[in-house]
Amino acid sequence: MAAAETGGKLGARDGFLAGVPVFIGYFPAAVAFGVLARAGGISLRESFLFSALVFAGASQFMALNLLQAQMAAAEIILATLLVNSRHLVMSATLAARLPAKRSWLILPAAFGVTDETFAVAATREESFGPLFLLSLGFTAYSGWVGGTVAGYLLGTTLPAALQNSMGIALYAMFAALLVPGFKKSRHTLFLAAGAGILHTLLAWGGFFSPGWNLIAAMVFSAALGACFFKGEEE
Amino acid sequence: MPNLILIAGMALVTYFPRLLPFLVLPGRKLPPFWRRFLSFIPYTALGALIIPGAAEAVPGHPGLSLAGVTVAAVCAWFKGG
Repeated sequence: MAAAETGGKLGARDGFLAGVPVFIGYFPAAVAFGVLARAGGISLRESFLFSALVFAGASQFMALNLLQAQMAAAEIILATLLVNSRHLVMSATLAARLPAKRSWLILPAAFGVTDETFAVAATREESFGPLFLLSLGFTAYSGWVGGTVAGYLLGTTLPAALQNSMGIALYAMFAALLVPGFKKSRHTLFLAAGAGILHTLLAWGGFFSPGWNLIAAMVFSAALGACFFKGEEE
Repeated sequence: MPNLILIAGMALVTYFPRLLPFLVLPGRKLPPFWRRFLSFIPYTALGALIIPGAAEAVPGHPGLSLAGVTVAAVCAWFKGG
C-alpha cells in the first residue's frame, strides 16, 4: 500500500522527522501564547481552541492584541484573513507537486500548512504525497497545541535564554533550508535576496499590512524569476 | 462565548487559503511560466521570511539574532546538500 497510497518517495516517517525541528521551534512560542492568553483573561478552553483550530502563530498573537484593544470580532477576522492569505501561495506550491490521485488526506494535510512546514516540505527534492504533509503538519501541530496548554497551565514563560535561542532557531532553520538552494543555482540566491530586500522596503514604507508585504515580496520576486530565468523548470 | 465566534471565524478564514490550492491543483499540468513561478516560491518565500524578520528574533538585539542566523547559513553552506 505504502507507495501507491502516499503517492511519493517521502512518507509518514519522513514527515515526522522533518517536523521535529519545527516542533522544537513552535513549543516555546506556543508557551508564550498560552501565557499571554491567560494574562489577557482568556479561558483555558478558548486558548486551546485558538491553537487547535486556527494553528497560525502570527495571527493568534495579533488576535490577543486586538482583543485587548477592544476590537470587534469581525475586524479581527478580516485582519486574520489578510495575514494568513500568504498560505494560499505556499499551499499552491505544495499542491502542484501532489499526484493527481485524490485522497481525503488533503483535507487535514492542508490544515497543517504554515510558513515553517511549507519551508521544510517545499525545499525537499524528493516526491511526496499528502501523507508526508499530514505527518509533518501533525508533528508541528502537536508542538503548537501542547505548548499552548503547557504555557497556560504553567503561567510562566520559559527562561529568557531558552526562549531567545528558540526564537533564533526557526530563522536558523529557514537559513539552513535556503542556503543549499544557492549551490544549485545562483538565480535562487538573487531571487531570495531580492525578496528579502523588497520585503524590508515594503515593511519600512508601510505599504501594505504586514501579511501583504510578505506576499507582495515573494510573489513579485518569483514572477520576475519566472520571466527572466527560463529553462529552470523542475 | 463571543470569543468562540471569533475563534470559529479565524479558523475558517485561515483554513480556506490553505485548502483551496489542494482542491484545484494536484496533478494538473501547469503552463511553463507558472511551473517556474511556483518553483521559485520556496526561495523567495524564505528570503522574505528571513529578511527583515531575523533581525528581530531576539527582541532588542538585532546583531545577536543576525549572528545566530549567519552561523546557521554558513554551516548549511558547508554541510548541507
